[in-house]
Amino acid sequence: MMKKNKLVWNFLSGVIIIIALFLIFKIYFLVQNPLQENTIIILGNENQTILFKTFNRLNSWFNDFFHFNSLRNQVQNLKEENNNLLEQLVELKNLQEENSSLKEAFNVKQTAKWHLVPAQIIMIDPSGLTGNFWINQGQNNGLKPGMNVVLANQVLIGTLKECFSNYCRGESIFAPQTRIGVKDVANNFLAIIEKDNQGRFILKLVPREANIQPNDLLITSTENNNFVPGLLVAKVKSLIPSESSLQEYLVEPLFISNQLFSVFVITNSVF
Amino acid sequence: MLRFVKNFVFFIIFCLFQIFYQGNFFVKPIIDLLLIFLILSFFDFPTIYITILILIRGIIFDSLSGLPWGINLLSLAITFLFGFLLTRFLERENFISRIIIGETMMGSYWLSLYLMSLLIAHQPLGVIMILNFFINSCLYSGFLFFNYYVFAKKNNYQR
Repeated sequence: MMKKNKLVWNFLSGVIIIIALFLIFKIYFLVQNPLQENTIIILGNENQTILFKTFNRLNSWFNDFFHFNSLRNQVQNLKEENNNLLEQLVELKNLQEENSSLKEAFNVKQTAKWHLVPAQIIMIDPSGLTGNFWINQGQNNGLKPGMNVVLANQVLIGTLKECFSNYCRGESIFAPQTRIGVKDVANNFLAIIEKDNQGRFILKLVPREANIQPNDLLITSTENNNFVPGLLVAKVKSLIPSESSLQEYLVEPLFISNQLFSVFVITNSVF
Repeated sequence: MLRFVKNFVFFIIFCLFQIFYQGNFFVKPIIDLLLIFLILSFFDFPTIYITILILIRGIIFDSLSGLPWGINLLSLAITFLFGFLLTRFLERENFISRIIIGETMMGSYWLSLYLMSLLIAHQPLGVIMILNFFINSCLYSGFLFFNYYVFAKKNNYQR
């Protein structure tokens, strides 16, 4: 009798647990938007990231502590470099004036095409599986999904995928299955950059006659559906030996930093 | 009560550490300290408390990761259900049991995450998931061995 009661009790507990789990998941999926938005607000709000700032300070302190010898050497080197740079500064001033006048003459038209909104990357995917990031500007600043995100030096970071009123989620070029149409700056050959299963960036569909050299710069081509043409993407690293008629190259993305930093969103780049 | 507070504070610290330091633009294996911490806590804390921690982790990771909503929570739920079932057959306090249960949970987590991301998000992350599993299981075993040899008397482990 006791055994039977225990069995019934175990069965009932199992049923109750299953129902409770079902309800939790049901509620979890129903309140997706408020949960997501509030999580971003709590973790991403600049005024509330005091813990983050403390982490940063601690990190810097430990970094300094463990590398004080190299820091001392660096200071010495910097002093010497500073002297050299001061000498060069005078020469460079003249060059800068010349450069800026040339820039005005040739490049203003190109840069003026883009309307840029400055933003700050506040969070990155903690699971490290998607290459997703969050920026602190959203629909209130006119941002929409599909807009391109770049660094100040026009290096492509990725595109926006989802926008809330004050935040946007973007997907970087490091996301799985990334495919970008590119053009070699040196000799205008068109090709495609793809991310392979090992996380490497491969330049594909390059004809044998293309005279591609290591360190050649690659920019987005006009064939892309997601990216504005003319953005810097990567530089060529080395040739992957093969016997096929089309060559493949290993390329290195120009955007390699994993630190949080300032970015720009090209607002007239929705596709 | 104090141990709950201490555990929760550690949970928050690991959570913030994972968000601000582990994540990066590169899709590459990472050390999932929060998962290891959750599995280690699973043996010493009640199920309801662990469920709350799982929910918090699920909400944060689902919100930030960009994978379809619910994948992280479902993976965690499957993992801890496995763990819960295994504790019915194996002893919680035994060192070897803890290794077996923990490693099985770790494996089921990465496997379920891999299958779900493959089926729902269509992202081929096989190599990265295997490396993730390998790195995190090694670290988990390391923590367990450390705990076993340093705090063996305090925790009354069965040798």
